[in-house]
Amino acid sequence: MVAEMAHIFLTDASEMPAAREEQPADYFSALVGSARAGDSLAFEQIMLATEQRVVSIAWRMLGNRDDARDAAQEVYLRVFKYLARFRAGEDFRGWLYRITINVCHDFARKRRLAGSSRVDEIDFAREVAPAEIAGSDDPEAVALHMQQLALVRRALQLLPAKERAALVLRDLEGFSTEEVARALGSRPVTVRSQVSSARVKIRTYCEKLSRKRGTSR
Amino acid sequence: MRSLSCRRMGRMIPLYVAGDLVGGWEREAAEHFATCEGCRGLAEEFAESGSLLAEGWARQEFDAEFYDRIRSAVLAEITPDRRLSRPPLFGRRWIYAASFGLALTVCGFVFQQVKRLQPEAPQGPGSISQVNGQLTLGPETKSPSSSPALPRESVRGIVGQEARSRERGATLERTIHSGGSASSLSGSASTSDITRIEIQTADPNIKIIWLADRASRGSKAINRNEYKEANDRN
Repeated sequence: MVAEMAHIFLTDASEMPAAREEQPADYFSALVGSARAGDSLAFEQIMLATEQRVVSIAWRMLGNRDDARDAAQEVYLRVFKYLARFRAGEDFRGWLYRITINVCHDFARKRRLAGSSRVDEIDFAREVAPAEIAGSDDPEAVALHMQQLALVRRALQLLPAKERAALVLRDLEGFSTEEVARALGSRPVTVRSQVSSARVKIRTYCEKLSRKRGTSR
Repeated sequence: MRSLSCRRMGRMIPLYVAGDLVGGWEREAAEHFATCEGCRGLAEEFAESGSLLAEGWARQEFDAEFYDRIRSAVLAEITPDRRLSRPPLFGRRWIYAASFGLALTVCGFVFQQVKRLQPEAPQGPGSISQVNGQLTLGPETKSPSSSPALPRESVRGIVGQEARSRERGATLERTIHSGGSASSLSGSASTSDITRIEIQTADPNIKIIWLADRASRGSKAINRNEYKEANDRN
């Protein structure tokens, strides 16, 4: 049973990445070389190849569609600005995702300073029940499931920034621990620790809140 | 033993459910779950919250327009940047570099010219030289053991007394004798018909040169004797 659950969890995470973005590393090195030389078409190609992933990370980090779009724009502007600093032979995607995470941290910080609550701004209006649950005859089960999804979404937004970044990349984007470490500029051991801590917090948060709601009814 | 193992398992479960445990730890955890119902339940809870998280944050499909807006906004920002500001920026950099290089060369040339035009530095303040029967005193940096016949204090005394002796019309020989270290001076002076004494003052531009021949010294001695005899008579 545990093995089955773990398998479901892993399958959900690993099926996330968009297939068209998984280009070979030398594909990007050639494009980066051209973009550096002033080829704007090459830069557009880089955007086309990576935008889905960048937007996805930004959306999961910020929980808001508009913020995700603004963050993605900022990411590409920074990439363009610092393209000359990118060393040949380095992992371009790792570099790009590191910039993405940094931009998301900056956006979250600005939002916090502006005094707006990040949890309240999550795009819950777009919540749609999964097809198998939506087609269910039991409306109570559907409502319960929707409530659980809402809880888990809030829980992610309440995590500390570093743990959230590690969890988003590892569990939601399906990166390996080593890839996450490269993207975050830390060690795999640190990533494992952050991800483990984040999972514990999410489980505890969901458990506490569901208990509280259960007793209040 | 068992509770300790469960506590350790509690720390490993969040990693186990996502397959982050490696090697022996994974096998050990699987063996533990086979016997411990509590840990198995905990692992199920973790797996459930994990799958809920993945479901709740499932990748959203944004339409093509959404991505188009991002791309067009970025390209609108960077394209004028590239067309307009980049080439002049590089041009300006080259101009700055060339100007700096030119200024550096001119400064070096001027410095060399100024250095060439400057007169040769004197041996040092307070030095006395004696060429062809001249007294020489080295620069101030010399150690006392290697210093010439006249110590520095006596030279300063000589320079001061020499200035006073001009007013009194006294001879330099007498002044040096009063310094008490004129053996080298008198010894070397006797080897030549003309004695040349150079005294370098503290000011490098002022050098006192004293020329005296044996005949004048003799006449002065005669004059002195005559003066002494006249005094005795009086």
